[in-house]
Amino acid sequence: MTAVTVDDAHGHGHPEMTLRQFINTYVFSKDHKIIGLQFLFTTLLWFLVGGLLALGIRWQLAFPWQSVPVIGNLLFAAEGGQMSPEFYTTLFTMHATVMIFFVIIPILAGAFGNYLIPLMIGADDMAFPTLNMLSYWFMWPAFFCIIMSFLNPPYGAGAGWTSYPPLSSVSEAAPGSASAQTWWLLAVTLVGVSSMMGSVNYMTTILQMRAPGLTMFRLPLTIWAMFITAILQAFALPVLTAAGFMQIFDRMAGSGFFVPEGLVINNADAESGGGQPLLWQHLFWFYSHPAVYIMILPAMGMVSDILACFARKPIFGYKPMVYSISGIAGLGFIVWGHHMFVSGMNPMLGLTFMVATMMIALPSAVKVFNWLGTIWGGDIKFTTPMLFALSFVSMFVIGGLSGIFMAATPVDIFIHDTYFIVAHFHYVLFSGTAMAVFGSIYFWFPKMFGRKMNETAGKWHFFLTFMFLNGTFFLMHILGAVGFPRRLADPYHYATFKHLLPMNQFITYCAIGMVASQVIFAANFFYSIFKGPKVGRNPWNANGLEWMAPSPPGHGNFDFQPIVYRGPYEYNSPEVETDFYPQTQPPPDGVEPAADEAH
Amino acid sequence: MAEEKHEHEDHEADAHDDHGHDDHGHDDHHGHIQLQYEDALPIRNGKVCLWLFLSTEIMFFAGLIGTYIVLRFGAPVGTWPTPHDVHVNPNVGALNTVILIISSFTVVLGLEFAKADKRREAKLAMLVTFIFGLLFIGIKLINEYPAKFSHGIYPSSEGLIHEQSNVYYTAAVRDTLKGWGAEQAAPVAAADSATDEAAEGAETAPPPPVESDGIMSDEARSLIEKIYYGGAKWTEYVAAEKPDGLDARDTMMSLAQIIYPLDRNSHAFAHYIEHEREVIERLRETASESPRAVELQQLLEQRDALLAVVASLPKTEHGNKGVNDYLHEDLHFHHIMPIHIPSGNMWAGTYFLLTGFHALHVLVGLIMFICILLTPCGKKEYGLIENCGLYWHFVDLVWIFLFPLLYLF
Amino acid sequence: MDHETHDTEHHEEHHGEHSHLRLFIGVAIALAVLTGLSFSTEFLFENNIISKGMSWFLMMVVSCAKALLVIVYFMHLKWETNWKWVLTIPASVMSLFLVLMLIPDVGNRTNHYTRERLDHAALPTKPESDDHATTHDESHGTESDDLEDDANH
Repeated sequence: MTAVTVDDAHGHGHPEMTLRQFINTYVFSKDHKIIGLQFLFTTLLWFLVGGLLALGIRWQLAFPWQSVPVIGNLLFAAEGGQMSPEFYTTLFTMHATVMIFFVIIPILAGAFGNYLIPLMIGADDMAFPTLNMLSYWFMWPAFFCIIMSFLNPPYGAGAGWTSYPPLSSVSEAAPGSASAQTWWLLAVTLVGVSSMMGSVNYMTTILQMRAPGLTMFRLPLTIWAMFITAILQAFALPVLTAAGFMQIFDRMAGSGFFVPEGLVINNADAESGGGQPLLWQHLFWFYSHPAVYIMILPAMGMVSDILACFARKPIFGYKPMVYSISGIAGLGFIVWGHHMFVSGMNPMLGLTFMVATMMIALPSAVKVFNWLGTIWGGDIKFTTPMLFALSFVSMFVIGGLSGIFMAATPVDIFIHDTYFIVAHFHYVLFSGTAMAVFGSIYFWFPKMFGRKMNETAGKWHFFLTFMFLNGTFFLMHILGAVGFPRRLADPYHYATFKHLLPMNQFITYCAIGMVASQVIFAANFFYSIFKGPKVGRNPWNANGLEWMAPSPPGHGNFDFQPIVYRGPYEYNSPEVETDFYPQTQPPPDGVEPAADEAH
Repeated sequence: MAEEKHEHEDHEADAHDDHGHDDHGHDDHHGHIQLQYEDALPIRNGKVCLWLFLSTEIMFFAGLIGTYIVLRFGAPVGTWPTPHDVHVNPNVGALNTVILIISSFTVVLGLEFAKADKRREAKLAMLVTFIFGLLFIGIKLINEYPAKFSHGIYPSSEGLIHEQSNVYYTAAVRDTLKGWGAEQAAPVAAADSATDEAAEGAETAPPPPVESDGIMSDEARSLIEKIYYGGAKWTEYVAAEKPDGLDARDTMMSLAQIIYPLDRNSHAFAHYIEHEREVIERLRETASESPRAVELQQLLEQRDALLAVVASLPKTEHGNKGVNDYLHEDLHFHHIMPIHIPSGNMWAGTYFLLTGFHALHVLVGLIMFICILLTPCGKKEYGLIENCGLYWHFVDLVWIFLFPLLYLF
Repeated sequence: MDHETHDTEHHEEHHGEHSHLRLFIGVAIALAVLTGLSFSTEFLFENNIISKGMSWFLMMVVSCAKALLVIVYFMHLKWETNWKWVLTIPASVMSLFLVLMLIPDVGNRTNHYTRERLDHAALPTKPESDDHATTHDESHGTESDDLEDDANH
């Protein structure tokens, strides 16, 4: 039953489908797989939008005040196609907002979380399918709001993705963006509502709907990561929602939570006062620092699964991995202040946050060592997902190490507003999370569509992306070390930075190359959905429960009752002939079931 | 393997039915088998989810209440308004507390009845809960919020509530009164001070007619004139000329006190007015020597008239009624002069934020109770009632902390 | 699932055997009495029997007692198994931690006010009319003097 068989018709290939059936099946579907795919497609679309916004930023930094190609003459006809500083501000605000709130968080929790959680724990669906559907459809008002914010005449929201007051709290502070910032806040709040619905659903599902025998310490690390992520979201997000409402009140009702006394910005008198701008920063980072782990932990989990599968070895130190995920999450709640070292925060508080931040390096290092331990001496198969996973590990080390630099207050004071920070978080978020996402798409694509993606094209995609991303982001460390400031439309205005223009041009060429390489991915992705080679249930010979279900799984996921005998990482087990040992395969006669402590 | 699952189906379906508002019961059992799951928490999925949701709610209100606590106790010392300053009535708060406690109790009763399948009693208990919830909202909307709004105590982007009674405040009062036509309404005064107005370069364009929504009574008109000249103009005169013996800051405080009296200032106000009368007598004798003699003469008259009116205003339990209240309550004039309440805007912001979000939660609870009342309220609805009850208790819980923090502190 | 459902039923029967009606009435009355109690601390303060800080403290103690009554009895946590700790303790700890961390930067913000902010900040009322408000909070005491001469700004 668990053997590799091509999926037979599962009673779902309705040849004639009415419009109503189509809408119920593919649009307002309550099936976690369809919702996961909806999240995947929408977030990939937003990924493209975010990438193009990044190119706009790069254009201005490489060729300041030159006519923007293609769109320049459409948007800025009066200025001869040259973008305005306000538009640049909107660009980087939107790039960050889109990438964080509309791509990374929903693609990890929304797309992969939705698709994988029930499959990997042997459930037929989420605990609350309707709530699940709502969590997707609450994204759409958010999309509407962010588009309204971006297209707000004459300028979109321009207070950065952190929306720091007082700039963001006084209605007319950022010129022309009076309602744009309000739209922005609404968008973020709606994304928050969506995430919150998702996270309580994920937690309930993982707690209550595991297949018989699947104890918490037999869960795949992906599921552990998703579980911890859901906890992070559930506890941290409400605070941002509360803060967001306060800022909306400040802007619309005239309260002054974040407005200091006697404030006049850009000739706009705040009228209200008595609040504290730092309050926003605290509340914002109380969410947004855990959000950093929301953006990386699921990627770490998925990479662990991919590494173990293609190294054909059990994961090294399963329990330490689980504890380090929990440790990162726990510490993640008490380190938010390291984003505020230069904000005028109480220095004593800064010291506390600095020490706590340094401590996060420990569980992170445990994870890296365990990944290395996993592939050490393994029979590594360099498939496309494995390449992406390996690059995740190596690039995460670079991103993580630069993080330790800025955890130290004295160093951070110098590099805080420079490209060093930009380099750091792009190494973690793009070279880390985005690469893990690509790897996971290649890895679970056969499960999603019953077909495999093209390996050769996948490897081209990997090598080009890997090369260009390092060309783009590594040089930013150097820029930052010499003090090149971020968030300025024209840093070359200062003579000290004039000599950095060629380096920025090189970065821009690499960025264009990086975006162009994704064409290979897009072509491969869409071609393979329809024309890729068909595969059976378990094309990678993996152990996880999801590989026991048909590809793609039908409604209800499993055509048999999965019963779990062991963890998902029993590769090359001496108990069986094959080099993999699926979780549902009963142990051969005479062999005692392995205890959990064996890991 | 698949066969043995089917015998569980009926049983499973029952188990799913009492999942309350979780909708896991698939109506379309086409083809896929009913799966079994590992032992988990011994409670319904809906309850797990609801408790998780309540944890997120704890964090949401922690953000709001925490903000209130640090803003309130961090406000410049001695500035946070007392409940009386901002028309907060602790008795009403206590009444609402008791109402919520009773409604929480009736939810528990309803749950017990539902468990025993006593449908009528359960329904009655839920109805009582609903009515009490409605009462809570009603008191909020009919008594509490209007009491603040009618006195101008709400966060506003026009800056109605001032932190200090300083020159900005005086100017704001003067501009407001001018906007109401206080200046034009006094032909004699206007003629006399015409030169000054021109010299000051003030816009002498006819002010817009204010009373679009009613007729300004003569009494109101004359009071507004008096406070324009005897209050705002006089205060500005004192601030500019600094007559011997008069402190500009005290004059500005007295203007604020006349418009919107604060308990804690009343003693200083009485003391100051007494002192000011002496100075005024002296000034009156030497008025003709002043470079702004005509204006001074007139301001002195208006000041006297204003103080006489203020002294004759009806008394309240806390002292004199403010001119704002008098205009609003006795003369039915529906506009508000800027008021001075230290940290008042912040108070209004936090008060409406906290009670507003709490009231919103009550409203959601009421909608849920309507949904419950539409069901038979029997044993089958136990899960639904339990979930809604847990939520309702949480709303009660938040109020238990909001009541002392907002009404008694 | 079979045994699980059984567990659930058994569990619910366990606390359903006898009605808690009397207990719940007692709790409701206790809550009402406690509400009166927090009211009376206000009264004690008005009559100068206790300080403002003391009355705040007492009110918070009363509120916590009321909250516990509601959680333990009305929300049935008394009869739940160990999961109750997992779901309630972390959120409570986190929320307290959040508020604590806000104190240095927001709670004590007036300690670090710039001159410009002080000029526009709410003024403390005159010392003679300032009966109870400042007595328990000496840390900001010095500012009121600095503010005296700002009125003519």
